[in-house]
Amino acid sequence: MGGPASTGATAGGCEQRGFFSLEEVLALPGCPDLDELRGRRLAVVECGHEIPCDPCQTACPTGAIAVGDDITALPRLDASLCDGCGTCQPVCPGLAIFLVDMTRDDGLAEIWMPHEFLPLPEKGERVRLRDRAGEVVGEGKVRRVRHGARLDRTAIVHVLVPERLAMVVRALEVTR
Amino acid sequence: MRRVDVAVVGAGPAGLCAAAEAARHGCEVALLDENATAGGQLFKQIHKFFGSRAHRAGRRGIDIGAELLDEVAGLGVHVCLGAPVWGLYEGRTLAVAEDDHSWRLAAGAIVLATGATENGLAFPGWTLPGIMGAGCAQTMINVHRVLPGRRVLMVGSGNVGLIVAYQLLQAGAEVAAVVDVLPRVGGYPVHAAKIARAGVPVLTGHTVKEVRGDGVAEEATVWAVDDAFRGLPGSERRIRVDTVALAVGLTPMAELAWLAGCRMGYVPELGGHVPFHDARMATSAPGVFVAGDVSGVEEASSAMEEGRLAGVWAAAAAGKVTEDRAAEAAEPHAAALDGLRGGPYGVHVRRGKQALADGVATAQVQVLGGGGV
Amino acid sequence: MTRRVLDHPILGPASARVPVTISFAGEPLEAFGGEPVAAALAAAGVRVFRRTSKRGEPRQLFCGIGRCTDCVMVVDGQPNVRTCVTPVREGMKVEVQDGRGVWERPRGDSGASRPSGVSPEDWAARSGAGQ
Repeated sequence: MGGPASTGATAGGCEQRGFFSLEEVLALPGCPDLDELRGRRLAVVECGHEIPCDPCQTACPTGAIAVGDDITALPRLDASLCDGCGTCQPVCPGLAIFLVDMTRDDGLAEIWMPHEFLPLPEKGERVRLRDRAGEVVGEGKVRRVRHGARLDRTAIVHVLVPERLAMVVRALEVTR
Repeated sequence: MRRVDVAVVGAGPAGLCAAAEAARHGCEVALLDENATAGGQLFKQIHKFFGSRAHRAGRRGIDIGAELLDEVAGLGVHVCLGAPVWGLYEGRTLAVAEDDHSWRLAAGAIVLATGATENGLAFPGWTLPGIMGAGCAQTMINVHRVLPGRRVLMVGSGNVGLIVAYQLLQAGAEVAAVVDVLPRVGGYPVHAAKIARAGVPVLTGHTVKEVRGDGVAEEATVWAVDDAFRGLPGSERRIRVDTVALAVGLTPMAELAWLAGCRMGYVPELGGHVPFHDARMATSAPGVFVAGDVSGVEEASSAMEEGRLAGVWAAAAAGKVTEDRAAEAAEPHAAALDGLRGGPYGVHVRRGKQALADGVATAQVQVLGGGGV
Repeated sequence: MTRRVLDHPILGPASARVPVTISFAGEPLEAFGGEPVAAALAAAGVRVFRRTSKRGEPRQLFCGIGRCTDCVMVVDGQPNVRTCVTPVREGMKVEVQDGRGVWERPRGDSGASRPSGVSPEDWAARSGAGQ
């Protein structure tokens, strides 16, 4: 499980800036440890505020995400139960869940990102990559785009990014 | 003069739920709204809602709205659109305007679900074309599918400001920045995160100083503020925009509660003057209930639960269901409402609602009125 | 580039609507059936809907839902029409309102204006006076 468990105390800088720093994310209970992430594709639940909300818990088929009866509690990810299916992703109203796959051996990582803008990227397209602060950090190739009834109009875009950016890239931009 | 068991004023999420619940409990219900379509602000909420499964979390507001309309239609509720209620007289009689005439409707019980209105913010240039409420921008893009402008400054980072900023991006506008006078984002940080990673600067501790342009909004100046919210000369930033959306709070539209002689309180945590009401959503005026933003500015999910509560207890007040049966039906909605108000984001509302339930005039709550129809 | 949101990631493509032609400031303006006048004007890039009485300052939209009256214009000769909640009609004539505007229709005996020219007797009967 990720870092020291937050009791839900509001994570400082995020409210002031409008986004989490990488350090803040790694300390969230919904964030797996980095060595767990290197083992297989896992969900990273970047939810760090006590908002009454629990669809991630309801949706997860393996019980890997726990919120508890008090639905303001922060979601905790049990990486040993997470099989990287991504069912949690489209149900999160905050679009705060990312699937991260750092198991490739070509220097790239694959990130599954929720994307609700047009035009949707196409398979094979190169897209601009942004970090949590909205800074452009590079380019990546789209491996797959999923959308359909179960996703309820939230497209999930699978993007290949340089591995060192696996926990940095959190948005894509179509540049055509 | 027409007569029904329960009359609901306002067909937004609270009113739709109140009408449905009253009808489920055997009432003949009239649901009135001044607008040409029902749904209130719900059909502009194209994002997924928070809460739990019981709260329809993860579902988009537009889809929840469609379900509520179906539910109400299926229950035989008389829906009167284009029908502003302009008076509330003795015997729980409503005066309704329609086309070029008025008619009266008497009811065994009334639910006021009239919502809240957007606040303005005055600064030099604030009346220029292009400056509007954030809700107005939201209506234009999500209902009428027209961009009110191409480059927007959003003032206010509560949930309305953050969500509408995101929706402006979805509609194809640029959002030049979101500013908030407080040193922190007011709404859920996940909403801020979605726009920040899309490249929108979120400037807390800043506000708009002025907007200039040749007869229309062309350039906004924002500046940093000190601890007393005074602008700091020298910190000005000029931003080219054609639109400024103001998301600076909502005020309950409680005119009918005033007319009914309800005991009113000034509760800043709830957005202004609201009618005192208890856990049954009953005001001090016999048979007059409230639900949704008119009873305190909150959100759609709570409006729906309050609507169900008001509908059930209005049905009891109209004599169509026993106290025991009403209490049984109300219980899950009261529990759901508590669930939505938990945590640090619910503190203000809990405090405000508690002051009203206690009927206590605290230092912040001014008590006014106190008659009854 | 159009101001109309023709496609949308959540709302999908705009549904087909009947084209309607109205006139604004004497010129034809394309609109779609069912939409409010304000939407048609905003889509066409019209930014000034009226000018205030005292200082002739420009105004356009504020609330967009029929409550604030910032958006009123002269429609088919009638002033103070809330364009954000008034649907377009084929041949509708829309003009920038100057101040409070001028009523083209004759006012009734009582001095109060009746929007649709209802006679005072009809007005009393329909409002249920004495019921």
